[in-house]
Formats: sequence, C-alpha cells, structure tokens
Amino acid sequence: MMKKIIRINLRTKKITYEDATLEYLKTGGRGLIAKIMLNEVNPLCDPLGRENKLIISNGLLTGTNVSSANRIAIGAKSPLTGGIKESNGGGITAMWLASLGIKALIIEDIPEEDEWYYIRINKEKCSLEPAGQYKGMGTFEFCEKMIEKYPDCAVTCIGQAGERLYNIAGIASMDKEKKPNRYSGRGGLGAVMGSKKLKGIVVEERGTVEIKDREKYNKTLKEYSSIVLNAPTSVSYRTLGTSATVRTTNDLTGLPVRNFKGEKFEYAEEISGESLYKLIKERGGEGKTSHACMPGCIIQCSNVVPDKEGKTIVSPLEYETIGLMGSNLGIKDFDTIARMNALCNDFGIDTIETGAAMGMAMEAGIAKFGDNEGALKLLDEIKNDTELGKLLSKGTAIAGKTLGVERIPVVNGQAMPAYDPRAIKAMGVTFATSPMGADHTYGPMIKTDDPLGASKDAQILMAKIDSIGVCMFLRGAIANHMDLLVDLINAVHGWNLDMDWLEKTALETIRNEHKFNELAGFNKEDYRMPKVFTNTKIESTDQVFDISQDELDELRLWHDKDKVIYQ
Amino acid sequence: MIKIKLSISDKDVKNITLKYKDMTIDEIITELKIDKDQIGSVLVNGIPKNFSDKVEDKSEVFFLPILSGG
Repeated sequence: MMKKIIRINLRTKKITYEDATLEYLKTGGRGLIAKIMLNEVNPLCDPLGRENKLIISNGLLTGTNVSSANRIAIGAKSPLTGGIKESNGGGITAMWLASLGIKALIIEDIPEEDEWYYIRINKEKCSLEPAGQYKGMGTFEFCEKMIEKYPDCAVTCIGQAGERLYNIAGIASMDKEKKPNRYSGRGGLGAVMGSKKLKGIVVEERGTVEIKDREKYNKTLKEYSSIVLNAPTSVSYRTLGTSATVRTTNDLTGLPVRNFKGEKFEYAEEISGESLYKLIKERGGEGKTSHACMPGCIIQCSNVVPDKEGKTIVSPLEYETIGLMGSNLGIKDFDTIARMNALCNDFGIDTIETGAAMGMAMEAGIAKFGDNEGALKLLDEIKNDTELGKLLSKGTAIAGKTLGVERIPVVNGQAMPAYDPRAIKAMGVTFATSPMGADHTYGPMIKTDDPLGASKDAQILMAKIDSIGVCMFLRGAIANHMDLLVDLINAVHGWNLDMDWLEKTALETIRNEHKFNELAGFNKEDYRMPKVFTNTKIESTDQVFDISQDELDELRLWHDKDKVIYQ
Repeated sequence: MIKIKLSISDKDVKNITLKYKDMTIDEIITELKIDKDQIGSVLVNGIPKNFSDKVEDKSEVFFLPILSGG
C-alpha cells in the first residue's frame, strides 16, 4: 500500500519520509496536489522562487495492473498562469514510485550553490545525486545516461528548456520503451523543476503493490477491463488515436487554423486521423497505429510515427499537437509536424504552448503560415536561445502582446488547446472557468447543445477521474461505471469508500484549486475569454463566443454555495 | 449483407444488418437516417475510412462517437 510521502529539500538536502495522513491517502493525483498546495504553498509566492513546491502525486490505483491507472500527476504554482497547476501524463514513473510504496514527492526550495541534482530512489532510500554533468542535455540523452547507470529505471526529467526556466517548459516521463515521450506539458512546470536545479527523478527499480482483497479485486477488474476494452470510445482511441478528432473539429470550424483565424483548414484531410493511420500502415517499419504508453493499458491511444525509411520520428503524435503545430501554423504534412513534436520532446517544451506562440510569430509576419522550414526555424530560435527564441519561450500571451498581435488565444496566461471557442463553445466555457488557464483536460466536451451544462458536467467528471488518478480517455467507457473504480480502490486498499466519497473528493478538489487562485490574487476579471473571440465572428458560421460573463462566473463558482471565494 | 455497428449518441452499440448494394458510407448514413454530426469516425472491417469510400459486401461498418483530443 502506498503510504510514504518523501519530502526533499534542495537547499538543506534534507530528505524526510512521512507517513501520509488518512486524508492524504484517500485522495490521489490532482486532488492530492490541490490539498498539498493549499496546505503548504504560499499562494503569493514567486513560481520560480524558494517557496514554490513541485509535487509528484500518484493515483489511488497506481502500481496495480488496472488499465490506464498509472498516470503521473505533477503540480506547482504555474509560472505561466500564476495560479495552481496540475498536469498529468502517462509513462512508467508513477508505476515505479507506487510499487516502492511512495504516494507522493514534495520537492522544496532551491540550492544555494550553483549545482544541479537528480533525485535517486530505490527500495532502500531516496538520495540527491550530482547532475552537473547532465546539464545541457536533452531529455533523450539524459534518459540514456540514466539507463546506463540504472538499467531498470524509470525517469521523469526536464530538457534544456526547463533548465533555462522557459515558461513553455514541460516535464517528460519515460514511456514503457524507456523514451521520455510522455508529457506533463502544461503550465511551465518544467521551469519550476529547473528553478530547483533538479534535472530529473530516477526511480531505480520496481517493487510490488499489495492488494488487500485479491478476490474482490480480480472479480471487479475482470468486469472493468471488459467494459474498457470494448467501449466504442476505446475502439476509436485504439485505432485512430486522439487524431480522430481532427475531422470533427474541422467540420465544426473549430480546428485552430492560422492562429485561430476562424476558418476550416483546406488540408484537414491530409492531417486527419484517417490519413495518419494510412501513413503509418504504409510506411511500416517501427510505425504503430496503436501503442500503450504504460504497462497494462488496454485503450492504447498512443502511436509511433515512422519516417519514409520506417524509423521512428515521434511517439505519440496527438490531436493537440496536430492542431497547434499543424493547422494552426498552416502546416499540412505529418513529417514536419512529427519532427517538430520530436524536437519539443527532446528539448522539453509543451507542443500546445509552443505551437500557439509560433502562431504569434507567424501572425506578426516573422515567418509565413504554411512554411515548413520557417516553422522549424522558429523552433531553432527557441532552442538556440536567440532574442526571438527568448520571447517565444515566455509563452503565447507575452509573445503575442510584445509582437502586437490582436488575436492572442489564451485565458489566464495559458494558450488554448486545439479548439476554437467560438465553434466549440463548451470547451470555451471550460477555458474561461478553469483555475488552470485554457486547459481542455479540465472539462473536455466538443458537441453539445448546452455548453454551460456540458462543461460543468465534464469538469466534475474530470475532477473525479483526476482525483482517482486515472487516464481521461477512460471517461467514455467508465463515466457510467465509476462505482467499479471505487470498488477497485476499496479492494486494493482495504477501504470501504462509496460514491459519496468520490463526489465530495471531486468537489473539494475544485474548491481547493479555486481557493488557491483566490489567495494568489485572482479575481473574476482574470477568468475572461479574450474579447477578440467574443467580438470577431467566424465568417462562414457567424459564430462568436457568446456565453455571458455572468453565466461564466456563475458556473465557475457553482461549487461555492456559501459564496466565499473571489468576493 | 453489411453488418452495421452504431455507437454515436449513447454508450450502447446498436447492431443493424443491411442488404448489400453498391453504396458509399455516406449513402449508408442517409439510408439509415444516422445523425452524421454525431459520428466521430468510421471503421470498415477495423480500418478507418472516409465517408465517400465504398463498402464491399460482407463488411462490418462501425460508426464511432466523437472523441476529444489529448
């Protein structure tokens, strides 16, 4: 059973092993991060200063063979939004940590000396090891070096971008092939890790997770696995991956095209999920249309995109990246998009924020929409730390304002994922009410006649999913069977939780996040859709984002019945 | 005979059989009065297809729901 919280202080080098309280034990992933942030982190702190903490949190089923339950949740105060941030990803690190009985890591303070470290964890202890020789390495090279030292390891790390404190820096975790392809990309969390001069977290070996009630576990797991395996959403993810969404959003004029201009992409078919499937099959070699990023996942939404010789370019290539680095930049070929994605993964940056920031440069005329080489050159500028690269590394909001761009697709300082809020209004509602900036994972919904109600329902469902710490791609399969997840938690831990617990946990997570932001100085004026999306129509459909500010405020605070937040 | 599996607006899969004739996926959608706006993608014998593609006899056509990114 996961019981330990390891607290690691980078200034004093003190490492303490704490028994998690029952309250902490009974919350996972994003929910635990929200609790720790509110309890321990000064909301007014400098995100890149001593007081901010980087929190790694496991889910309640992490380390077991429950499908899609091995997400790693990473949180801190975000340098991009100035508010609370949680970003979760796949891979193996969470599974390795949980198997050693570790519930969470709380990483504190900043070294006084100019030295870099990595955290090394094995069955006996946790230690800080010197990492000066790895500074300046991309994520792939760092992971190779760690595998040389610790062949069975799982690694979570930053690239050069995190070291340089870029606002667009993310944190990479190894997939099951031991490549750092799985990203907790959003919110600039890589910069928080870099601010602590922490290159990586290396879990040297695996242990096992104890199952308290094996009979109940096996019986429930069988039912759960059958539902997840056969759900139509799982079939779609397993065949087309998330890129299946391209055609749908383009049909709705909701795929971002040339910096969210509000038009359909004339080359959408060339970057569709169907075309990606065909390309991978035709090229063969190392290509895979279906791939599990973590052991035991039966959804397998990931893929491996090969080049013309069959060698891997990137794994995975996902919808958000196709949207932000493809159509948003006017780019229509998978090879260029995949190559940019691979560069981002190695350098350690979020493809959403980076793609949107590159859109600012193109809108300002620094490069041309649709110019493959121009787009790659912009990435080089970021990587080479030129003046332009430094500007783009600050993120879409700062880059757009500095370059004088009118249409800047951000809310609360964070770039919108690949959904134009004028056409996909429920996603726009989520962007404008999330305490984490424009973030589709806070409450994803594409097609609905009731954007406010659908976003609210999706936000509640995601708070449950994230607080258990399982993958969001379960939700189509499991939304009506959440009791099975609760039963599995009870079987693993020997508890007797019920659906009321799940409701309360989700509510508390949302409240804690908004409370943190309120204490960080946010007010309702921070939660606003940019005027350009409320005033400028999509020409072909006459749509603007027309949800009123009062309606958005009411939805954002639905959980705050006592009206104590943001008053 | 064409076997249709339909799972778009609700979570359950509906199974329908259709007598074979020379048809595209679009024409099947029209014939069965399926709400095209609710379709995320279409697999024919497990392979993703476009709406304009023809369907051969003895195929299985699976209409899948809309997903959202990641």
